[in-house]
Amino acid sequence: MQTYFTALFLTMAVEFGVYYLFLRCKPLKLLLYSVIINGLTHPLAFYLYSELYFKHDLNNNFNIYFLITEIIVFLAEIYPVKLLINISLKKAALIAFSANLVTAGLSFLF
Amino acid sequence: MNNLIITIVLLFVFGSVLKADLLPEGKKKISYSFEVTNTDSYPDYTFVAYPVNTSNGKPMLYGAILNAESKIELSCKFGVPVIYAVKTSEFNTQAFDSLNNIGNDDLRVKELKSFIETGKFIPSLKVVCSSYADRDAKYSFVEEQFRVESIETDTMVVRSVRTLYKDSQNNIIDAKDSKGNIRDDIVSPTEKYSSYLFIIIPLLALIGIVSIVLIRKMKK
Repeated sequence: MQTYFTALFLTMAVEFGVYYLFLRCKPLKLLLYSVIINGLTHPLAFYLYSELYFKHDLNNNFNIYFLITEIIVFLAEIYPVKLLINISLKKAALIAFSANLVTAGLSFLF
Repeated sequence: MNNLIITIVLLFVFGSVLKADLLPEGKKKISYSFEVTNTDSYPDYTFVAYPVNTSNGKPMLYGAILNAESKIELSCKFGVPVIYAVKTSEFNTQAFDSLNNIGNDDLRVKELKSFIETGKFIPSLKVVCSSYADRDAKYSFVEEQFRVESIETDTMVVRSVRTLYKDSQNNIIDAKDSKGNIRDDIVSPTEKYSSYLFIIIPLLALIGIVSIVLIRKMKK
């Protein structure tokens, strides 16, 4: 579980960084929102990915399940971001997309 | 007339089946094998790969016990093996061997799958490979080396560390170091004691969202 929680806290920290880069205000509140939003989506995404990964065959080197999970997470985060940060849907989608793009990209590096 | 139609349909059906075994355009067939290193560092564990298919024709899936320096050859179709670790004290080698000796392919797959799912196996990465290379590639064999990095209660990290490309004379013509596959530190979804966290954390987060929204409304 240690590996999972490291991944979860890293995701929360990185997404907080992305939120702050976009909004530049109330860092503590943004950190709380990042914790809540990722607390909602990360465990479910992790579970979904594990289920997909182990129950279905990958027949080539492109990990389609990773992409599917990331798209679902991005879509699932739009509304909570809009609701909590109180911004337009378009901006929420942009922030959710950027945050997930950064965390997905980092998962290839580490 | 009916016979002609049946013949055309049969040719069409079997033609499709045969086509599936043909080489893709511009490709040649290569051999793939993998080995898992650093298993010696975990003497309390047995390492297993399942499902392993070595047949190039009809799928014949087996489970393989991974020993130090033993190479597993794969046909790279019909099943992508997952590398598992299991405490040796909780692994019944004789039962595993007897399941591997079941003659009926379907029954063997069913029994081995059930054996893995009901046992305390810790899954790690999937060995994804290809049995084709570009026709002008100089190599005919690919050997991938994986390394067991860590094992926790329900997590095992295995990384791809090196891929060797060999020609038909078994000479190494290229070697590639790799940083590792994405998300290879998968937590088993079947692990019972940790699964409640996957419900509690999102539930707490949901309560957090509802509370923030309600507090905001009350303040207005």
